Amino acid sequence: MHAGSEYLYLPLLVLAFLIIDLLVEVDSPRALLLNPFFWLYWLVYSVAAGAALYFMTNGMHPAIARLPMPALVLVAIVGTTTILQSLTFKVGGKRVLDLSRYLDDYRRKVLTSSASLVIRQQKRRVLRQSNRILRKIGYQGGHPESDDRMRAMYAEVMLFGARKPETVQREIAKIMADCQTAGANFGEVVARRVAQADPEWVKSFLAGS
Amino acid sequence: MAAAIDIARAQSSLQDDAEASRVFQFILNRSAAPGWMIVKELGQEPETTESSLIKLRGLGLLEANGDGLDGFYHSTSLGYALKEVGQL
Repeated sequence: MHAGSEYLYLPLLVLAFLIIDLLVEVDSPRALLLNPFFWLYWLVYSVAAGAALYFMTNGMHPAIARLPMPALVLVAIVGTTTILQSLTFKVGGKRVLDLSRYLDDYRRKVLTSSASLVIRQQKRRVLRQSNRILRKIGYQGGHPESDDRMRAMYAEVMLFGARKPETVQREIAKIMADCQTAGANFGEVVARRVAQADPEWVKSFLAGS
Repeated sequence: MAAAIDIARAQSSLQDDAEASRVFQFILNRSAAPGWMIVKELGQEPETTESSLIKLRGLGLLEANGDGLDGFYHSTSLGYALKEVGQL
């Protein structure tokens, strides 16, 4: 291994560590990787871990500096995480600097902004699936046969657990009345709701012949 | 300090409302979810889910993109802070 090459793979290991840490709470790696706040978080961690590694290889006791490089890198990442997550400076019992709080706040910012991106993905998925549902059944607005198929689909998806068929029928009647009032397309509204409620059902419906 | 008070308020409010607590847990587990998905996955009546969502938004735990059950929901920073406290 060339001297200094550890500074190239350290950021990659930090990236892997942060992805594993955050994917527990963000259900989409794509949303995480598209989030600029995440990359800033990674940059801060990488710089801090790089600094820790530098001090370990240059300023520490020779016994530590002689450890194998993978071990030093691991200690740099774990040590950085530990320090960043607990660094608090108190004067007179009052917190003057609370780095852990800033880091926690920023981590939550990464999580909420990633969740917003997940919503964007979900909305695109709903639009895509509802269009495909309408295409698959050849929906034609105002045709009784098309509307009957959409009613049946709604009943199939929304009749679950202890729900009664008449409750579901009341919901369908309400959707129809709302569509008439707003001039909306009944088929589109039902397809969208079904795609929101049960994406897995829609997947198997679309995959079926 | 204000956040600590908000967390305590949200915590005690969720302890008294199992349905809202389930809705909040569901959203946290998926990072985000449409209202109608919550209804179906939790097997709740739409009115129950909707009132839970209103309550959770009122407590500052959820942010919405859209209205009612047609909206999409995700946790706020306060919601994640509540999760970190580990008292859900």
